[in-house]
Amino acid sequence: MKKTLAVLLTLALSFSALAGCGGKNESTADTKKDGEKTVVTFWCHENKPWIAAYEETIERFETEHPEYDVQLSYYPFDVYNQKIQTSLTSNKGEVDIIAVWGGIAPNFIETDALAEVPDYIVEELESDYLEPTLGVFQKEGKYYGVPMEFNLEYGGLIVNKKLFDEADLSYPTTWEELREISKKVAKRNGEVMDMIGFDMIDSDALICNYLSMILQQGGQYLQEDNSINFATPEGVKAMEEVLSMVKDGETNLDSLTSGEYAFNKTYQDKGFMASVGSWGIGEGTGTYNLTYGEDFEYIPTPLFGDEVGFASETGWGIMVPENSEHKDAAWEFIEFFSRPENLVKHNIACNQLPPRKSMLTSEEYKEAMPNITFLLDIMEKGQWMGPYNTSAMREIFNEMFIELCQEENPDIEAALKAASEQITAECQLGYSTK
Amino acid sequence: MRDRKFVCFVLAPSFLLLFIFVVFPLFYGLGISFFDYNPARNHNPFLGFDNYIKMFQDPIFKKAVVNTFIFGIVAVFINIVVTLFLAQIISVLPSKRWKTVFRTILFIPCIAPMVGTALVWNSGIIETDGGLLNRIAGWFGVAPKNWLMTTGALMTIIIVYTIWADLGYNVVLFSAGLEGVPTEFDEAASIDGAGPVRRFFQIKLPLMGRTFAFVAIMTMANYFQMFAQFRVIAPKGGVKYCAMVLTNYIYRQSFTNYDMGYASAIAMALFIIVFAVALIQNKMMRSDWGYE
Repeated sequence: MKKTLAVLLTLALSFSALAGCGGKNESTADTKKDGEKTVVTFWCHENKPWIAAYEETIERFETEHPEYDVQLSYYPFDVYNQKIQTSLTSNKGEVDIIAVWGGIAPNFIETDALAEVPDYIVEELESDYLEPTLGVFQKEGKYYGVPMEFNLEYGGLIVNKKLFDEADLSYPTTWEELREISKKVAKRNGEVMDMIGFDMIDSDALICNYLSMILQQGGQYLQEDNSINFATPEGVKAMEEVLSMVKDGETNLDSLTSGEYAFNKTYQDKGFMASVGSWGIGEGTGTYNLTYGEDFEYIPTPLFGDEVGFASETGWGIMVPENSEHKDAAWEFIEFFSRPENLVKHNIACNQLPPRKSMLTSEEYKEAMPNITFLLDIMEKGQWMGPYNTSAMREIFNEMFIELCQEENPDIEAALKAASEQITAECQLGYSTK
Repeated sequence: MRDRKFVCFVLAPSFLLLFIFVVFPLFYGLGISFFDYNPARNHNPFLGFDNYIKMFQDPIFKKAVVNTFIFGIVAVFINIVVTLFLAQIISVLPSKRWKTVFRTILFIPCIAPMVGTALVWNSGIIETDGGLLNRIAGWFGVAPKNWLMTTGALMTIIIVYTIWADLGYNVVLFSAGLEGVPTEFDEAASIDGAGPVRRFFQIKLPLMGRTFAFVAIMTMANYFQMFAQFRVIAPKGGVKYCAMVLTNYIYRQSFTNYDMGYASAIAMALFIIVFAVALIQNKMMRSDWGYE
C-alpha cells in the first residue's frame, strides 16, 4: 500500500514538473480565429489614461474592421520590458503589437526579433514625422517602430498656483526671475527641503534640462562623429548653474536618489516649480486629483540662453514582433492608429505631444490642450538627443552629478569630460540609424 | 534488487527536478557566458573568454565582489551572534508558552516577503523627508540626512534590515540545537561550579557544533545571494556603487543592459565564490561525533 502510494506520488510529481516545461503556448489558441474574427494581441504598460485611450482607438478600429478583435493586455512598467524580452525570444509569438518606450527600444531593435515597418507606413514616417521621434526606431535605413508621441521632458514647468498666490508672486518669465523666486521661497533643513523653489533634479528631467541649457547658449554636446562632449564652455557654465541650485539650497537630490519625479513635491505643496514634460499634467489631475487652474498650472520654461534649443529623445512607439502570427493585421492596426485624426485623440487623452508635423497646427489638439500649445511652437526647433541608449546615458550622467554635489570644490570640466567619454564608449546604440 | 529499482523509481523525479532546474541552468549559464548573448537575436557571436576578461577589468564588478564579501561576512557574523544570544535567552525562559511567544514574534519578519518589508523600510524608515531614522536623529538635534546618498551608512542600514528580516529563522534553528544538547552535561558542569556563561561557551556551544555548522554555512550561502533588499533600497547600487552586490549587478546586466552573456559570466563568478566559501566553511566546521 505504502509503495503504491509512493509510486502514485512519484508519478504526480514527475508530471507536474514536466508540465511546466510544456511547449504548448496557451495564448496561441487565443490568437487563432475566434469565429469569423482574427484576434490581434496588443501589449502596453499599466497607465490608466493611456489604457483608456488605447481602448477607444481599438473600438474605432474594430468598427472599421469588424474582421479583427484587438485584445489589449497591460502590465506594470517594472516588469513590462522583461515580459517583452521573454516574449520576443519564443518561437511562437504571444503578442502582435507592443508599445515600447524609446529609451528601452534599442535593446529590442538591435536584435532580429522585430518586424520591419512596411513601405506604406515608411512613406508617412519619412514625410511627416519630426526627426527626434524616429531616432532609435531606424536601423541601417530601415524602420522597426512607429512613434506615437513626441517626447519632450523639457519646455514646461508645473507651478503650484496656490503657493504662488499665497506668496503674492508672479510666474517667472526669464531665467533670472526663475532663480530669484526659487531662492526666495526655498527653505532647507539639513538635507531635507521644507520648501523647494525650482526643481529639475530628477532622473528624467536633469539631463534634458542640462542639454537644453547647452543648446540655448549656442553650444553643442553632440559632435560630428556622434561622440558626446559636455566639457565645452557652454557645458561647464550650464553645469555650474545646475549645481548652484543644489548648493544654494533651492532643491536637493532627494528626487534623484529616490527615483521619484520632482513634480511630486510641487503637487504635494512642498515645491513651487518643477520641470516636467506635458504628461506631468495628467499626474496632477489624475493621481493627485488636483484642479488645473486652481491648484496648479503649466507654464513655459524660461530660456537659459538667447535662443530656443532643446534635445529630445525618441518617445513611445509601437512595434510588431517578427514572431507575430498576424503581422499584416498588426500593421493595419498601426496604420489606423497613426492616422492624424486618430493619433490626435490618443495624444490628447494621454497628454502627449503629437509626433507628426501635420498635427502641429491641429485645431482639435489646440482646442483640447490649450495649456500646452506653447510647446507646439518650439517642437520643430528641437534636435534628436543622439544615437544613444538614453537610459544608460542618464545613469552615468546622474551618477556624475551626485558626485559633483558631494564635493566641496569639484573639478566640473574634468567630471564632464570623464562622463562624456564614458557615455560615448558605453552607451552608443549597437546599430547604425542611417 | 526489487527494492533498489523501487528506490531508483521514487528518487527519479527529484533527480529530474534537480537536473532541469539546477544542473542544466548551471551548464547553460556557463555556455552563455562565452557568447555575446541576447536570446532575441538570431545570431549570438562567440566571444571566447572576452566576457571574463571584461569582468576582471570592470571596476563595478570588483566593487560588487568586495561589497558582497563585506555584506556576507559582517551580516552573517552579526546574525549568528545575535540569534545565538536570543536562542540562549529564550531557552532559559521558565515557561514554554513564553518561549513560543518570543520565537513567534521573532519569526514574523521571516514570513513577510522581503520585497514588501524592504519597501516599507525604504519609504517608512530611511526616507529623507519624514522617515523614522531622521525623526529619531531629530530628537537628538541631528539634522535630517539623505541616507541614500551615504556610503557606509547605507550598507549598514541594509545589513540591519537583513538581520531584522532574517532573525527568526536562525533563532528557531539554534533553539532546536540548544534543546538537543543533553541536559546531563549542563547539570554536571553546574554541580562542578561552572557559571551560566562558561557553561554556554564550554559545554553547550561545542556540543551543538553540527547545528552551528549548518546555520553558518546555510546563512553564508544565502547571504551571498541576497538580492531583494539591494534591489529595493539601492537599485542602482548607491553612491559610488557602495551597495552594489553581485546579485544586483547580474540583474542589472541581464535586464537593464540586456547583456545576458556578461551577466552569466558574473553569475559563474558568484557561483564559484559561494561554492568556495561553503567548502571552506564545511572543512573548518566539520564535526564527526555524537553524544553517545
